[in-house]
Amino acid sequence: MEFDNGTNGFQIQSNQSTEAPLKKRIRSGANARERDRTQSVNSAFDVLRAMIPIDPPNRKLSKIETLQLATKYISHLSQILTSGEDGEQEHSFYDVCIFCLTNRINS
Amino acid sequence: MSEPSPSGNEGETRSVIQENVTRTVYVNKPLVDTAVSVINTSSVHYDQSSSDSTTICTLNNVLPPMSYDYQHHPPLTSVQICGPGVPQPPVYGTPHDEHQYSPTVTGVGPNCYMQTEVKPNSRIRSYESERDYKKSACDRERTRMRDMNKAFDLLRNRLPKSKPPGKKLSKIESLRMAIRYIRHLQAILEYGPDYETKIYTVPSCTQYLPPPTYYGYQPQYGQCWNVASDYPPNVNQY
Repeated sequence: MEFDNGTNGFQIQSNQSTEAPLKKRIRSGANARERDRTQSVNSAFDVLRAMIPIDPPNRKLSKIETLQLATKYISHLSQILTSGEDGEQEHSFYDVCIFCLTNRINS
Repeated sequence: MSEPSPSGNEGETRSVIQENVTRTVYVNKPLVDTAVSVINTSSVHYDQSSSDSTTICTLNNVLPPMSYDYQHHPPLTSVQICGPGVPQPPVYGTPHDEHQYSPTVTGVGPNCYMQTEVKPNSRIRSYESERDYKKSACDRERTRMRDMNKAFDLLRNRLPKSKPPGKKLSKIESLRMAIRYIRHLQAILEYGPDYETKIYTVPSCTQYLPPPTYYGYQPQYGQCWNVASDYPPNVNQY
């Protein structure tokens, strides 16, 4: 016959009245950390977004667009550095570098 | 890039019909005789094969697929909903603007105009149950995340190697490194090659600090990392 719910006199964390608030605290702490983490990622996206030249300038790029355009922009800048600023030409009738185009539109 | 063509299985009532959308962008500029760039987008896959520095960034492989949702405004007679009492899934309108070239773009100068023409194909979608709808929503989300992770990987390939060979940059790290690297490249372009020596000069107040420990590898004082070949072969012993 048990008098103490089988804990043998030791009551660690099994009391029903303290368990639920503890779990809630843990969850809300994890939620807050995840929120902060997501916010830092989003603000990094915003900074990256602001650095990419785009026409029209007020168009907000989605996350995947910023990633792709950042990749292409880094290629574009490297290409300018290695070949010189007057070196880039359109290579074919149908392919246009959008950053070259953006430069021309804006200048 | 795939040719634009509607593809679907008309025989099955429950399948999802993919849409290929062709947009044509006309740019009329005095400097460019006629530059016509045809954007072919498919709802599932975009061109990821171009990731070396010699590739021209074209409109073809820059913008993501137009939408991960489906747009259709079918006439009532063509909608097939199976089963009585089945909850009707929401009808998707035009895709979210962030995936679409705005058709109201009119260029920014007196010498140019841009005209976009969107030709969506109508689609028929029917779900046998709410479960199928949720499953396709999960599939779409999974595809979206997979594409985003691939885009992250392509970005990582372009950045200088800054981690021990076995590890790769996390998302936030790769974003911050991309920001830093773009600023660096722009500064080189603006200030010339002398910029390099200016930023790597050690100020006198930190002259007597020990060099920073980096994953157990002690760089020689004054040395800066640039490429993976800078790491000696025994760097993995940690």
